[in-house]
Amino acid sequence: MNTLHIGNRRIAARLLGGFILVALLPLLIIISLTYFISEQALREAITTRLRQIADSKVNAIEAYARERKNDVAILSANPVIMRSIEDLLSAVERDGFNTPGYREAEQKLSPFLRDYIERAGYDDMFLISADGSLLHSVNRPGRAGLNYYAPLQNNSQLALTFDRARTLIDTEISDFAIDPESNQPTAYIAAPVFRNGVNIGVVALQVRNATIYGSVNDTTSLGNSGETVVGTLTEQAVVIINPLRNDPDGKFARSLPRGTGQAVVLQQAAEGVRGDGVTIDYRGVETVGAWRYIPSMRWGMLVKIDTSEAYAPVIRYRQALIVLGSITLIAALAFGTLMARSIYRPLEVLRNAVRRISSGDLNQRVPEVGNNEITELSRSVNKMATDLQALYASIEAKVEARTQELQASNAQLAEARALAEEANKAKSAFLSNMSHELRTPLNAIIGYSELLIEEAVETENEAQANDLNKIHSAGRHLLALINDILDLSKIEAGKMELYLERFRLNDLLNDVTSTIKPLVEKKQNQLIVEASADPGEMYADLVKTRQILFNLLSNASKFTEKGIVTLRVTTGKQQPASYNQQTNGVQSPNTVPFISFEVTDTGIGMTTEQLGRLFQPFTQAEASTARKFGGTGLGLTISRHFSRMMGGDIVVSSSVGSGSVFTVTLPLDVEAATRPPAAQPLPVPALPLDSQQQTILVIDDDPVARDLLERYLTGQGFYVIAAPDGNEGLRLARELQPVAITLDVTMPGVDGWTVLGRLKADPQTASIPVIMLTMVEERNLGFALGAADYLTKPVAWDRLSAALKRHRSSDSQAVLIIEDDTDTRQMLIQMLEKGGWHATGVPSAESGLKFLNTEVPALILLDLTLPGMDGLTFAQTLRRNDRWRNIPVIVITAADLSAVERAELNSYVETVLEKGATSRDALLNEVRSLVGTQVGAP
Amino acid sequence: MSRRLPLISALLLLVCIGAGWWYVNSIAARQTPIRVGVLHSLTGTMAISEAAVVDATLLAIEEINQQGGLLGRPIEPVIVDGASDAATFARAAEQLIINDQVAVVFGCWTSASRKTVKPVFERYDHLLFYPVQYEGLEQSPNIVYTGAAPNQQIIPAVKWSLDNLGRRFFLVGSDYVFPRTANEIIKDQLTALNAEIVGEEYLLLGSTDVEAIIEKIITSKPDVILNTINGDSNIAFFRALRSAGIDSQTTPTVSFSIAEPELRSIDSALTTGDYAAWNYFQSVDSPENRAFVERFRARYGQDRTVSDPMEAAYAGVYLWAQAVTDAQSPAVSGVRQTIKKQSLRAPGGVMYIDPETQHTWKNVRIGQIGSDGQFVIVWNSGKPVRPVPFPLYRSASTWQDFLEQLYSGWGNSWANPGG
Repeated sequence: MNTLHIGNRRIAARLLGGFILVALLPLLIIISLTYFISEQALREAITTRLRQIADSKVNAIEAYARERKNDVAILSANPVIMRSIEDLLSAVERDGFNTPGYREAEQKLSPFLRDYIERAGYDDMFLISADGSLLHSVNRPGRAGLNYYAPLQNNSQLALTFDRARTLIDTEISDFAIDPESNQPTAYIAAPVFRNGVNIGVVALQVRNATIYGSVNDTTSLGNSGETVVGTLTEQAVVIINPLRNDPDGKFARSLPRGTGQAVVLQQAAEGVRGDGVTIDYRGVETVGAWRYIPSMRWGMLVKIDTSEAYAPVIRYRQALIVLGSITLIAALAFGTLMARSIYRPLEVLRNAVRRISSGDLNQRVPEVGNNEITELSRSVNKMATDLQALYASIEAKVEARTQELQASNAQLAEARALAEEANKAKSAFLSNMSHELRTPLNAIIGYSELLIEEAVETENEAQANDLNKIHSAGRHLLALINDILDLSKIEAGKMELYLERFRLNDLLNDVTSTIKPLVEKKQNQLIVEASADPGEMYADLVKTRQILFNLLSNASKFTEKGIVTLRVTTGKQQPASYNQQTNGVQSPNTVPFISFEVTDTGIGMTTEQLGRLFQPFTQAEASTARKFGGTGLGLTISRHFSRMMGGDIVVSSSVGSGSVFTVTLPLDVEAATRPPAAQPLPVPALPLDSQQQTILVIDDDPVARDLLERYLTGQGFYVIAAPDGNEGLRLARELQPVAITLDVTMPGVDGWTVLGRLKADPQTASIPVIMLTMVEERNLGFALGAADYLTKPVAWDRLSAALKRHRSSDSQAVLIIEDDTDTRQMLIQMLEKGGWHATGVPSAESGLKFLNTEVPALILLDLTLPGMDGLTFAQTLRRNDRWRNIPVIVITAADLSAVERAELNSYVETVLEKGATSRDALLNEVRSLVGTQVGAP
Repeated sequence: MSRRLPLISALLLLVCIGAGWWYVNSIAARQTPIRVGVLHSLTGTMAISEAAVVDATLLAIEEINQQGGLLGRPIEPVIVDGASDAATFARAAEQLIINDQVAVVFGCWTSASRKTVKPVFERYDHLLFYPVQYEGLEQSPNIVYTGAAPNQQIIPAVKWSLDNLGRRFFLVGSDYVFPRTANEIIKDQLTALNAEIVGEEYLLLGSTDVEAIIEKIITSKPDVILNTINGDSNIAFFRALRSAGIDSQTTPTVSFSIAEPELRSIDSALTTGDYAAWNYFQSVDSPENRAFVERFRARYGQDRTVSDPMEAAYAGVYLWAQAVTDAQSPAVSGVRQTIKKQSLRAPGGVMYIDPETQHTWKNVRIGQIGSDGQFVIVWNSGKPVRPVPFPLYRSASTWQDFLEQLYSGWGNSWANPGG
């Protein structure tokens, strides 16, 4: 608003400025110039007039003087005068002055001379002899006989004039001086008189000053203040010799000291310097004048006029110009302002209207007054506003439509998103379901085939046993395949989770080598392990590390025949080159200590092309390889993923015929900060065992699993009650108070974890041990419930052996094996005995408890699925007993427990916590106890 | 607006160019020098006197130029050598007028040269400033006489001699128009005043054959010798005079053509105590004169002296400049009008150009030669004396007849050709 206003004013100012610049400024300049030129001309005219007056006065005086000289010159040549002088001279010579003869001669000429001076206007006439005697004076006859060369007289004006005229033989005019007799300014004119070339005397005339003064004091065309000042020089002063207009008594009385005021000008004039200009006169008034030299009189003359009068026209002209100029200026300014206003007023109206339009008031219209550019502009603005209005109306409709479209589109998008999310969920569900759905039947196949094998062995039907063994073996292979595929799927879905724990590298190596040994020996290869005596500990996912090594070693064994497979273990702080390129690995500082497992074989080796495809899933060195060597072809892919997950990598170098070198580098300490350690698997001291209660509650949605469990457990002497879903299970648990509950995790409706939480939240059921049976790994929860280790069923002996080694106590060799399966138990005993353990096997939890009363073993191997009291209950009993609490327990599970993602676990635990504070406290106490025990553990 | 800008710019440019052209033109017009002729003998017998007059003339021109010139224009002197030859003077004058288009000519010393150029100036209606005292009997509308007329030098000197030195006069002069005319006037005056002329002798111009004259002087025993000898002959004359035992005490000489520069070429012992009559002496005691002498010496050297013709020439330039200023143009026609009645505070006193005769009113002075070559002023007219080119006691026509007789007597020459 402000700026706009200023803007308008600027236009007005510019218009005004332009107007002034274009019209007023030149006008003012022209007026000023005209004025100055006119003034100059006027002043020049005045000065010129004064000069002319002065010149004319000089001329008049000079003419007067010349006339007088001519008068006396003519007179001197007049024979009457000559004769008169001669007569008088002879009379004087003859008789002397005042003698009758002299008087006679005087009277003879007197009338003529008197007549002459009266006619010519002189005061007196003198006839003087050459020797200076006054022969005759017309008006002063008594003076005759006076001698002008006599000492008393020779300085008088007349005497001087007489002498000069006589000796210089020329007419002579004296200065005007005060005559002592008349007391009037008087001058004399004299001329020599000759007879035959010889001077006989001088004729002199006394001049009246009146004529000269008449001319000098003529003030014609000198206005009211003009006057003429005539001065003569004396030694010290300039004496004004004419009556002054403003001081009539001034003549000969007013004497101006030299060098002061107008005396300067008069003095200059008297010294021959002519000029004109402005001076201050004897009154102290500024005057303009012209000064001249009068040679005949040696006077300086100043003709002057007061500037106030002389320049009155100039001043009037100036005043008129100022008044006129002011009026013009004011008029021009007013007119200019009006004009500027007439232009910017409509602009202002237009601006205000446009501003209102721009602020949204599209109904605003500009008045279209007149017919000029602004009117046109107004018209355009109005049209624009109209157009805008129309445009806005249509735009609103369009926006409305677009908004609806957008909303629809958004809804679709949301729907699509929901669908996508659903699909994603479905995928996750599919993955877990696959685990369940694929393994459940396999479980049945493997389980039943084992049962049948046992029966066949018992019935000594060898042919059937062989077939069943084939089924069993095929089932296990299928299970392995499925597990691999599931692992890969999990990896690719980003659902693979690390389970980090601290373990001794020696244990790992022993475990791996003992497991791989049969495979190595199968192809008559030799396995060499190159490692330091005690390479120390490692903090990593033990299962995955083991799986990686097993994969590499089994690959090496597969593709090598009668050769050497070497496992070289080195540690160092140098990070491998590939480390930083990890995509899903844990970022670590450069100096992270690393361990490197180098598997070298002397097998067939690979081409560069083969190396390139090596880590791609479902790829083997060549198509025929699968047929020739077997395997899923997923091992390397999974291994690489595992090692990268842990912040390491696998690199390979190979050439055809010279074997291959696979090198796994892993951080010795997989960063715990990004992967917080899960609850440590530590021995559960004891499980409560109530031998009086034989009832087992089986909660499982799968009838096959229910049937299998029933048959297992019933065979173990338990009374088994099955519940097909979680709610039924909870009801039965409260009602029957079973000694243990087997709980399937993946169930429709209320899932296993929820059921577990509710069981633990209910004081009636909290103490009942729950055995989680599921294809989904829930190890951590299991540990939380007090298991030291988990094994999957069917028991893999190598892993059992590794677990035993891991938990070996230094001061005791006694191991209690609680395993209902006799063969398994016998097998375990034999294996442990071989490993230097003192193993005792018992078939049930109850018998295990009895054994514990007599002896405390260093370790307990516990099967979770036991007849009578189950493994979990046994573990709980152990935990409640102070003596047994610290005994490490290795749980042998019936199923291969896969790792449960941490987020899931946490959420379950939280669910538990929220639903029952008591149970949470109990759980936490257990954890603390376990951790505390582990510290003391080997 | 922006489209109109070039038009406005063009207009402004046009105005500027116009103003600039006008200004440059006016400047150029102003800057055009006013040319003036300086016509004197720079060679020949007169060079010794006339070169100094040229110096004085140029000094005045320089001074005016230093003060911003005349009407804003500088004065440019065109200096021409008359070569002490009348015919050369006439040719040079014509050349200055026709070829050099000078506004005025300052020049001539001898009456012979003046009388030869006079018809030229009259023919072209031009203007000559003549700075030397002369015999009078002349009045041309085309000549301004800034030197003395007879009544401004000769007559007062004779009167003074008569009053102070004695009544027996011996007249001696060079045999050309000035001494002849001067002596004619002197004789008239002496006759009128009953004085005695004991001798009248003439010497050819440049002649040193003075012995016969000295003899006559010795024989006639005059009270005063009135000397109108010009040029180098004076040296011989004074030497012979002193050799003959005629000293300035007993028989003083009053010279009319010996000024300060001439004294420098004559042994001071020969002339000390004698007299000369002029309008101006270097020794004139006035602020104006002291400043003038100082300026002249500053310009030409401290050993230089100034003389009456030099002062007259110097003042002539100023008088002419005043006339040009009054006329607002250097054109001859205007200046010839405005030159009349010009007055000036010259070094020698007030000068005033008599409108009738175009001679100047001047003071008259008589000086006695000191041993330093300077004059002690013994008499001063006390006021400017009106110039009277034709002495009153004869009519103008009588004087013209006298001159014509001289001219024809010398075979149409203004000097006795001798032989």
